[in-house]
Amino acid sequence: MKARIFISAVFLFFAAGCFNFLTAGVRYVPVADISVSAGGVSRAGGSPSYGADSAVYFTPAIVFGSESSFLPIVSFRYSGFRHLRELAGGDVLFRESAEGGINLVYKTSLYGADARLRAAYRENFINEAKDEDWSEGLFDHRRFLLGAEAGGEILGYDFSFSADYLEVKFPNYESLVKDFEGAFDSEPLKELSREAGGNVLDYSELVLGLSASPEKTAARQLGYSYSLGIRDYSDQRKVESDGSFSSDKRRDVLNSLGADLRLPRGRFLFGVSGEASYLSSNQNLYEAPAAEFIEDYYSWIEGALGVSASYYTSEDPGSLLKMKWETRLRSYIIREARDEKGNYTGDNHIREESSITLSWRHRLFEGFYSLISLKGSFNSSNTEYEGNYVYNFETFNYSMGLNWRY
Amino acid sequence: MRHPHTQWERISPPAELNSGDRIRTGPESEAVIVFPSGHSAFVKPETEVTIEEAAEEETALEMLQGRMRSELEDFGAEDSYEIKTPQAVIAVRGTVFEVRVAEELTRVEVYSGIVEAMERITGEKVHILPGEFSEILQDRRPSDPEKMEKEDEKPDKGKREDAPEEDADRRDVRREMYSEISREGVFSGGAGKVIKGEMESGGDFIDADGRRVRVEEYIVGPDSKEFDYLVLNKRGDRYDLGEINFVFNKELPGDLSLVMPDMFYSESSEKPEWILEEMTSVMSGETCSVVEKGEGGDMLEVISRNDAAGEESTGMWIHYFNLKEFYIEGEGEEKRDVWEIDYGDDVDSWGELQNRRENYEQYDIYSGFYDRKTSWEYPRGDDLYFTRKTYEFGDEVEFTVEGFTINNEGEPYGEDDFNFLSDGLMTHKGNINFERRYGGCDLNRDIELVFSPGALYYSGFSDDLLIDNTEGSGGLRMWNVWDLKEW
Repeated sequence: MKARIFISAVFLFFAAGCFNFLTAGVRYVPVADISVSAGGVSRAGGSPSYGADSAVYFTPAIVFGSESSFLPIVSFRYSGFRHLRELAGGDVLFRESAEGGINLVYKTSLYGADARLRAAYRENFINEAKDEDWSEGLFDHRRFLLGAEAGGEILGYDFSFSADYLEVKFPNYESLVKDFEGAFDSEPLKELSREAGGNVLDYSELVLGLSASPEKTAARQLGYSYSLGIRDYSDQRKVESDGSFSSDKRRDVLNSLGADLRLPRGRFLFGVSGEASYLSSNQNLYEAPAAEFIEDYYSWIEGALGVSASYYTSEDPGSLLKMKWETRLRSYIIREARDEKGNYTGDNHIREESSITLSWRHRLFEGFYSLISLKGSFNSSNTEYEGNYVYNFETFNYSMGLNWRY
Repeated sequence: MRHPHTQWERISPPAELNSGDRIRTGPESEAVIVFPSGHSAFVKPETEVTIEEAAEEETALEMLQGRMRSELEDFGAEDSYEIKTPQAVIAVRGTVFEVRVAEELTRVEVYSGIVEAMERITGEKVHILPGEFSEILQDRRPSDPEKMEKEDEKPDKGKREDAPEEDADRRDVRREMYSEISREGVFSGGAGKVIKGEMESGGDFIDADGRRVRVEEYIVGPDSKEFDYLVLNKRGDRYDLGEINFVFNKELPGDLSLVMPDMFYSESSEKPEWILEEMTSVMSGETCSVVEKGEGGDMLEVISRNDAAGEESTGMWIHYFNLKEFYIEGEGEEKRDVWEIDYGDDVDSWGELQNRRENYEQYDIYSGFYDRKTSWEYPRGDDLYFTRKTYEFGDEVEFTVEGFTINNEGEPYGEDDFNFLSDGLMTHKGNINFERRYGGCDLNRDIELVFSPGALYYSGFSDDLLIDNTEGSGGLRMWNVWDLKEW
């Protein structure tokens, strides 16, 4: 079904493009961007890990006249670094990841407003354990996406509205309760498998976005954004207070409000961004070893702030020295912090993630740039129990590489 | 472009403009306007200008923001070329000049010819010669013309002659591509958070051989006086199930957290309300199971005496089973007893229980009843928390039970990592897992189960109870729930 929708979208794009082809001048504009880099990651108190990254983006874009264009974007990325912010507390496993996909974008102008249609398909492979080969990763996933966007000026403000629908599937992940069905003759297991979901990570999501730029001059660019994301887990049942599963499915709703300010000053570019988010989830947690039920376990509020300063080291706008500081603070609504023995403390569980990045991109000669990046990450929490997940750690990343643009 | 009283519309060259039309360029767009007079205006990015008049001998523009360079051709005596900004009026007597409008400032730079600039409120004027510039603020006299800096010293990100000049199409396409890549990053981040949340909830470990183990733990019940605790392990394509059934002396509450912390140990002056009477642990592989049963369960008050002070202290209850079995069941095979213990059902004190235990020496020696012998070893050295017990049956079938305390990468901990006696279990709280492996039950493979340390914490175990002071034990115990009931 999803393949049919995607193929239909491709046909729609080509049909739209062909119409333009008949009515306006057509130009073929290929654009490519390839990067490779290598470096290391080390964790405070741990041993370093070395790896490489690469990314390839290519679009054989077709431009129709001055208003419309069709961009099929093919992309591929490989990463051989330990992504310590993503792993269960770093120092765990060497992780390789690779992803590839195709994005189709049709852009045109309707009554003076920009409009876009998009469709995308992407596969992600995450290679972690020693006994997992490519395509066998527990958290491998794929994503389908359909979206539309329109923007224009209203009362002197630039507005943009977008709607995206996506579905994410984890083909190698199934709850063990379902996976064990038929393998053992156990009455409690049979009872559980009647109620529990199977593909508990799979979800679909509708994301609505609105952005507005009240000011956009050479001296200052200010923008606001709001997004609403409604995520439904198709096979994750809601947990009840006695550890059983209800027929209700999990739903998360994410509201985010953001602001972005850019200040060009000669060769300098300063930026400040902020975001406030609220996730509301109907899912609870039942901790079997403790027979403990925690209602509304996954809801949180979060604030983020970022400050950046860039300096164009030459007249080439691709040559850039940039420093960026970001911080993100999350507080769970109900979930409590835990002491080192795992006891709940009564305080809300809070975690903070901050990073400082220094990057330098420099033009070597036509189309080629050198890349250097240094990054320090700092993670902390008032939860000291780290039996499942490490919250308190620091890492340092460094890499060097090359970028080619066509 | 926008005609008077209409909406903005996108235009592409060549486009005809008229008086009253307003032009606006985007962040990476430029335009060139050629007037009937032959003069040209080069409109830079993010610039807005209105054509007030465009005739053969008269050109008048109003510039609201941005940058624009004007080049005048054959400027005659009758010709007029004027640019208005929010602060100034610039009348041209030269050929090449540039005007910049930013917030409350107008800057005029002249490259050839002479330009007259007038501030609109005060009416003050200056004449700007080639190579000079003047800046005009509202309601203030224009600044005296000054020499301009050299082109390459300007703090400006204009292009060098040898820098690559992208055409507009390629620039637009590249911008669209990066915009899509950025959106992809946002959606990928969503999936990444789902993965992170799953990792945070636990259930993902590495066993002693470096293989991924998925663990899920559930409680089923309570149902009257009993509940079941399930541990599901999966490695690759193989499944192992741990199932423990608990039966109590009375109806259980809906909230089992009122019961579990005092199941095996309780510090209280009163005997716990719920007493575990029976427990059956079944560790299953694909073709056989290892069963440990306890019956006749009760709790005894332990009275300790402080010899130095000569005082007795109470308020500690410890659980025991008076009948225990450990056996193996396989498909199509006879049940094999590993060991069986019967203390009798008339134990009335902790002291009496200790006396009867001594008759069994170490619990796994059952002299004369089964034709087998046992051994206890530390396969990787006695400084690692990894033990193995071997039972040999009369038909030379060997049954082994291995216990591991491992880190998240499957490596056994040892005394160099931490010492249970001095450090306790909590020193490596984020990185401790327990694994039990039974060999010789399922002839095709071992039964292996990894489970979380949380089960120990919440069942009332303290670090003290993990220490075995039995002579010859090396100060270590088997690190799992089922062995720990044997103190």
